[in-house]
Amino acid sequence: MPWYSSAGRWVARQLGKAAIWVVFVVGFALLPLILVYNDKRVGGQSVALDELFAKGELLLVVTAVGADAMGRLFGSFFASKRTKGIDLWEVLLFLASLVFVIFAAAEYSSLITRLGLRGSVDVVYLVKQSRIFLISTLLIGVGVILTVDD
Amino acid sequence: MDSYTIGALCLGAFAFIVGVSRLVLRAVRIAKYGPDAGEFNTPSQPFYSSRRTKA
Repeated sequence: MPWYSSAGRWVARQLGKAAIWVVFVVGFALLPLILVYNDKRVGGQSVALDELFAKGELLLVVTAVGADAMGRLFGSFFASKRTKGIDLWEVLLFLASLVFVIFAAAEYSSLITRLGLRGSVDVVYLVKQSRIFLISTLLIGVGVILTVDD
Repeated sequence: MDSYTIGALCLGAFAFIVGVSRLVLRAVRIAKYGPDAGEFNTPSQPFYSSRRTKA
């Protein structure tokens, strides 16, 4: 058996896990937004993508995806036979996920409060922020998937 | 882009780089020591099985 065979197979398995995560976690988390967009387009409305995220929907997706990444790190830690304690890099990945989960949840609750009180909301800023949070959380999620062992 | 945005992107990029670099390091470990190279921070699987056999 060539020396690279088992390593290549392991890398392929990890990349496969990342692909499955993208489809099932990210894809299905975004599915309601995709369906709303599709429904509006079918109804003849021209919808800008930014309008879909104007009420902080992407922040909920960010929270779900970040929490999933944290859960995977937790699961990997408790399922493994670690003898030397906690891995520093996994702790850093966990904290990075936690930062986005907390920020997204706080921003969403703040937005809902403002909308309820009919306060001013900077939609452009909110949408930009949601997008950046989503991109960053996806990067963290892929990093976590590539790191953890099942 | 404001600093908040740049910070968020940097954090995401950092986590991604950590994931990819650990993937590469682990692949190198497996290529060097075989499929039972074990996870980071733990002895490899054969160590455990031999201990169990001795006991």
